[in-house]
Amino acid sequence: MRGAASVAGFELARGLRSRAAIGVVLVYVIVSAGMCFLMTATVAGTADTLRNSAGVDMTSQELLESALSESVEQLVDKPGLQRGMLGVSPVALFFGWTSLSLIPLLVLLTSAASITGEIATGAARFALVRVDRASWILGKYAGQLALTAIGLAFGAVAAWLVCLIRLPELAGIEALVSLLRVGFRVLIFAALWLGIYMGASLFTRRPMLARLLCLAIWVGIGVATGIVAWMAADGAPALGEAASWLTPRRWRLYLWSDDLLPRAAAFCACLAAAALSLGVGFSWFRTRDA
Amino acid sequence: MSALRLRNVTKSYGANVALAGLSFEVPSGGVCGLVGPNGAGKTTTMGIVAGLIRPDAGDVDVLGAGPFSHATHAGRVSILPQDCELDPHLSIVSLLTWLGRLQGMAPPDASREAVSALERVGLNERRNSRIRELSHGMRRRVTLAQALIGSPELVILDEPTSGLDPELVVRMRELFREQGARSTLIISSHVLSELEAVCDSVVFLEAGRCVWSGALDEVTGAGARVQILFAEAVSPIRLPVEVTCDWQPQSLAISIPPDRSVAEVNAAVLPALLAAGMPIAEVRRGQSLEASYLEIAGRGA
Repeated sequence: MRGAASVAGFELARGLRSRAAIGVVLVYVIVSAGMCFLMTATVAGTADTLRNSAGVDMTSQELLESALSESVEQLVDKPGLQRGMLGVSPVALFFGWTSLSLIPLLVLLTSAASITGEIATGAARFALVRVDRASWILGKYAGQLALTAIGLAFGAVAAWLVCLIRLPELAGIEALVSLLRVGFRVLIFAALWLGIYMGASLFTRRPMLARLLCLAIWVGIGVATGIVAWMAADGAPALGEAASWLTPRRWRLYLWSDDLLPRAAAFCACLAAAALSLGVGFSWFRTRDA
Repeated sequence: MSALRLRNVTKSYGANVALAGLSFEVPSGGVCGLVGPNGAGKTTTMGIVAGLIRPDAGDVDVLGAGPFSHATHAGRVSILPQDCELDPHLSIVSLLTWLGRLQGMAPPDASREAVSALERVGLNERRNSRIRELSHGMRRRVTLAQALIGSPELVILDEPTSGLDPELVVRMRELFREQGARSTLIISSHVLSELEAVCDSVVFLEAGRCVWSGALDEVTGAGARVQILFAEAVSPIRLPVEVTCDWQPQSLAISIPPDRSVAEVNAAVLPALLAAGMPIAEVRRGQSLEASYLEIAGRGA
């Protein structure tokens, strides 16, 4: 574990120095701040329109809570999920929804070639003669996860700051806490994708191939999820509903739940799938030449 | 005790056989040269010893503790791989400190060892430079420095002087001799004169097999043969000692009998040659490593 911790710390430090990783952290910040800006601009604009044309005098907060409440009730049928989503601040809900949608692509950019890149250049050999392969992979994974956590934390703070400037009534300290809590849930979902990508990338030694493989997996999971959703809706509802529990989309949804059991199950499913993917990749990599 | 022992080690990459039943032994302490043409299996052998490459079959015993495993060998075995790049964004000292920590050192020890290793390769003044700011030769020295961190008992260097200027090559030679006195050093190089200057023993590889291994003196015949070169053609004379001679117009090769030393024979023969008016241009012990290698490789072919 000491070796893994050392690799993780170094991976994080190196990630923070590399332009690519800094670029991705900036993307987190820009996307979060940009989406928050759009949301606040839309809400403020709608409130103004309602006030001027219909004579309805609602604050931005009231308008947003009312709109969100209606949308969530229409989109989600489980009471626990509704409570979970409406229990967080509107800006956190917006941030969480956006981040959960984008995180698979963002971690693909940072992590897909983080192991193969070092194997291809030979840099991995300096570490692999000193620390066992399991610790090295675990450390690389933990370092990437820490890098993602930093990106999410910056993104959450950026969203809060935009909200503070544009709609101060929505940006109390509770909103910031809410953003960080949602950010943690996004991190769990990121852990899943990191595990999938890093595990898959262990099957190749070429960075470009690793990126393509991860992209193919992301598209493949998206297509499979779409088929399962169609089955659940039209084709074979019982089978589709059962199969949907195996898809990241379902776990992502239940990360919002206000009920402990489904939320814990979603947490565990994400982490178990990440561990499984890393484990499968490792079982291949451990017998390969470095 | 042997620092390294390989028995019938095989390794193939698809249809290409890299090692075809390789067996040799490296004694503990000193510098051992691994010699062979491209594709002889030197890099594969080094990778297997350091646990980076998995052999298909055979026995590998590193430092008397079986094949490489992190539990027993981490920090005791180090390697300078042939082709490897360093992360360009890092400072030299932070990279080396981290590698020291990875092999189990406490942070202050790792930091001290990093500085010490950089001093040994002559890069201490650049310790805070980033890798991307270094020339190719300097980067090579950083990779060499990482192999010297701590007190490794077995240091494996794959082409350590490639890309270094002649002045640095001489300096590195000193470093190898010094390291050879502290631990066992295995060096592969195509520059045989360089190996001859630092090695105590050599292993010749050919097509994934060991064709010869032993002490340097043994392979070059330094303890068994003396060659005397003359400035002009001479006629043979009767020597004052009983030795086997091979007279050529401008040279004389003497095989030293087992009961005599080179010094003894020289002390008797050289005055006799000078007394006969022979213009001695050079006296060599044995033959060069290059000539020995070509002889053995040619025999194998």
